[in-house]
Amino acid sequence: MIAYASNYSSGMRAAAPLAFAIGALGLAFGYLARAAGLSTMAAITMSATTFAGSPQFAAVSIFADGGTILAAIVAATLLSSRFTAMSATAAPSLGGPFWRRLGLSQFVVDETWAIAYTSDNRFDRRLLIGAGLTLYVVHVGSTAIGAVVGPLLGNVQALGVDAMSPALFVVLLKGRVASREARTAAAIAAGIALGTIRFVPPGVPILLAVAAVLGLTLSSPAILYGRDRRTDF
Amino acid sequence: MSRAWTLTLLTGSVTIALKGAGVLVTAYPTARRRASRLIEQITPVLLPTVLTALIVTQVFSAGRHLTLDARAAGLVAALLGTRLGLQPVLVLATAAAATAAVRLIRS
Repeated sequence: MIAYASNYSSGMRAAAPLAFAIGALGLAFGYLARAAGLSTMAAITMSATTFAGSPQFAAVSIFADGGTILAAIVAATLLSSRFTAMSATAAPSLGGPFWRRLGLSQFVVDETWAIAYTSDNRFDRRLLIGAGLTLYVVHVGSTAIGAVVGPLLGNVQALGVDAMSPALFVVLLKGRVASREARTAAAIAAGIALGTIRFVPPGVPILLAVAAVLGLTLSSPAILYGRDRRTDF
Repeated sequence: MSRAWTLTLLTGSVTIALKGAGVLVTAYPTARRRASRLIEQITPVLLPTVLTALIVTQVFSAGRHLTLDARAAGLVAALLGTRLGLQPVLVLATAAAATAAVRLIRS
């Protein structure tokens, strides 16, 4: 891991290379949100309040596909649940009164968390703020541009914009399927999702996959972890 | 309120609440220990599960129909790109380009 000096501008500099990816995703999100039936203001509001790509893409794509709001929100919740763990590890280092830590925790997303978590296992508040502000401006700004410009372009489906959201999930998946249990979970999820698409409303296959894997993890971990790891639970 | 706004505000508030919850649990040591144990146990399998299910449904379905179209080329490109260690922005661009190329050929 690269070490950054503990100040706001280091956080900004660390976030700069990521800003391109975040910007491209923001443009795609703005476009897809409008195509799904959200107004420009709604698309911008979602980016400004959620400030996290994966739950936004999940919610909007399930909604666009004709899924229920409940299915969309549950999928977004599952994807956002990791931020609870991240902000819990960051919280003690955020400093100041409770309400300020609560405010700063809103800057926590995969990218900013990784930047602010220094190599000596310390969480740096200034790096979080520097990187968070930078990526927040890029995220909301690019969403606005995508939402305004997108509909003017007509059908940009030909450009493959709809392939960017699954590609983002592939990027996020990298490094998370190194263990046997993670690979088994992914395989079960793929099987259940593919097998149920035809029988349940859009969005629900994701919930069924999660229910099955969590059920297995908590009831018979041996299937996921292998027999030798059974005693861990 | 329209369905689109309901979706927008719920997605926003859920994420704000979940980020804030991390700060909240650290205020209580017992809750923090219990939460971190559960999170530790579930996170390694929860994320791959949700992400894989999202990828599969976004690439291979349209409504309630199983599909195999240009998006599959985008998925293959994204998998190859990540395997080669490309920057995230390039992975996204390659996936879009691959999907666009297949659509162009088939149109």
